[in-house]
Amino acid sequence: MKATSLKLAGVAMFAALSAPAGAAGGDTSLKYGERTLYVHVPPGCPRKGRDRS
Amino acid sequence: MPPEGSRSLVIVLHGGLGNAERIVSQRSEAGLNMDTTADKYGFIVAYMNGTPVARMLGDDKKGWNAGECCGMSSANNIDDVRYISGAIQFLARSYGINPRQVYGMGHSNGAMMTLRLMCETDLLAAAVPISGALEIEAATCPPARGKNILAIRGTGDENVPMSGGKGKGVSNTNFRSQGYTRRIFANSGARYTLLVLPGAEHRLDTIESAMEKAEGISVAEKAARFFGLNH
Repeated sequence: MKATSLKLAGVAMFAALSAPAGAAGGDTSLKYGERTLYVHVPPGCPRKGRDRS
Repeated sequence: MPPEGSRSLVIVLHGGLGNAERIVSQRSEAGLNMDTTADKYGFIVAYMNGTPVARMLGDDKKGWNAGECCGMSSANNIDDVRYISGAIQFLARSYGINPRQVYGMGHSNGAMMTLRLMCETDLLAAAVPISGALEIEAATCPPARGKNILAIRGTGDENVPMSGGKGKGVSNTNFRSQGYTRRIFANSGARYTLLVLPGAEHRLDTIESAMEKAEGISVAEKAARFFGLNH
């Protein structure tokens, strides 16, 4: 499990990734804050290398 | 697929009592599933979740605080504008998305939320709200100036009537009208187009069928073309 924290309007929000970074295409479920969101990425679109804090 | 930094994102917002999982798995609101169209044209799709909308119905029944609707999301004044804003920023960084190429679509309560985003923020370049109206009191929506909105409605919508008022759904909301929505956005300098589908009701499957009948394309294809992503 990788994790990214970022600051938004002075409040830290937390995003946990359930799929490997750099996966090419397909569906990814992410946690942003306490909610799950689903990302569909067409083939040939890798997620950027590493998560950042 | 466009190079990093120039990719497009479509955010999809479920209706009241729905959730993102159901759209992704096509168990309901399947007409909001953009996956096939995204693969065809090379854009990214994010299906987002609201928060539990009714205390007694379970946490998987979610909604958005679109202003005067819906349920606990509205009553508890959940800051969905801020949540979606942060999520888009996060996705833009993660997937090399151009922040100027983010588009929104949603159904019912998700349409109302999409319209609220268009009214109050500069997040979305264009929007396709389906079966919903703007549910906030606004004189104008300055961020919408010059932007495109395609509102899709069914003539037989009894849950969120085009003329406004209380529908037959469970929300008990006194909905605003399509006329109000159009007027506010038109007064704000937005290009607001209303597509009325004869025979379509509130449910998305009836919208999908009526769209196929009227134009021979899916709702997803219609939205992608409206956003200019069909290239």
